[in-house]
Amino acid sequence: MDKNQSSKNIRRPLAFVSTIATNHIHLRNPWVTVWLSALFPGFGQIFLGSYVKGFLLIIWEIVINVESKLNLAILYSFTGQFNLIKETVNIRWLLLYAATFVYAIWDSYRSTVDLNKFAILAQRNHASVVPFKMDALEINYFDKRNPWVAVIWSVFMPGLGHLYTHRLPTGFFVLIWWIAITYFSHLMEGVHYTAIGAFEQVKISVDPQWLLFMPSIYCFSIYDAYVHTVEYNKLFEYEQAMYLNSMYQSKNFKKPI
Amino acid sequence: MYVVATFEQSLLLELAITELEEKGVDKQNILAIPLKVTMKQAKIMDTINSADGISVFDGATVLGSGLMVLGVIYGYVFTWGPIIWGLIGLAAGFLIGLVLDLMFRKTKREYRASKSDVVVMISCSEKQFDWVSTVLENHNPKGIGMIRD
Repeated sequence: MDKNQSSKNIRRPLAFVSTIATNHIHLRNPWVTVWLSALFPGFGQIFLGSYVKGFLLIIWEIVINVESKLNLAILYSFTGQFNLIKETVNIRWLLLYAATFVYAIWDSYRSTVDLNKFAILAQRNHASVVPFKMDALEINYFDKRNPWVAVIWSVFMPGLGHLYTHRLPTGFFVLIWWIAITYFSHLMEGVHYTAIGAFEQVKISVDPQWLLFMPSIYCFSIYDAYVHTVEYNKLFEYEQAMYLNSMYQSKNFKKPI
Repeated sequence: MYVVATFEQSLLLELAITELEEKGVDKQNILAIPLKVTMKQAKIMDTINSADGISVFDGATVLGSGLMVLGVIYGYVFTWGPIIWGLIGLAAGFLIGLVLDLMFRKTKREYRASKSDVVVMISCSEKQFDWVSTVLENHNPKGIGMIRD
């Protein structure tokens, strides 16, 4: 099988289908990608399917945030403990943060706007898509999947919704980070103490530096899994409709009237 | 005579068509017309079959994640701790976002992908009718009709 069959000779492709994921452009709201990157620089890029940029930006964000203790500084600022900020923050790292953070947000916006144009062009050019890919290690196929099933799996464990909808790079990246951050934040001890009502113990055992990463990852994984399941369903319909139009509308069909 | 059926777009539809071909219906006697949904029929809620441009999930996610962060932060001050307050923030933000999104959504996005139903029409003889309609029925059509010659 031709390796690049799914995008060969197409000037304005709609999707690239590989066995580990379908990378696919569709209309997105640029302000949503901006928000995703503001929550966690790099998530906007991952949402768009720009994995190299997204993964590296996220790894950098975690490194600098942990080293500079930025999450603690945010916690202390919001709760008015300003005297604690100066003691915690590591000024060797802190000032390195800003440019990359702002770039990630800006880049999310402009990439989304650009890709939206390409999405419209690809549809107008009736770009063809190959709906099934298989190699020695993985199988990827278009099908109708239920976006709420993706949501439920992501609610139980971020990343699983992506495995369901076959967006493996996002799925495993999120899953692995979720496990690591759960461990470092002592989240499970917190859940345990919360469940038995020992609320003071929660505050002592759970590390806010790591815990504050979790809301963004959690919400991102649910949203991203949902949106891509819906969009993959649309891609399935798009490809199937093109196929039916080309194969089952013979000129020789005997018209009833 | 003709057998007419409508299907939701799915793999079952392709299975039905290929089974008919395997059992002897000629390709040129099968007509399949995918229908496009027009703007006016657009639904507000996303479903598995009809999803609008982007989703009603947008506002819910934005507010949900925002309030969840605040919930975790102030959970360190409030009695119940960061985990319960984080979840409260998520739920509250999600609901408020969803309600605002539905309230202030005026028009649908300009552009929609092709989607939804397919009309399948099979031209066959009186003798074939029984098994042709059985094959279609076995693949979850929305409805089946026929025209006699």
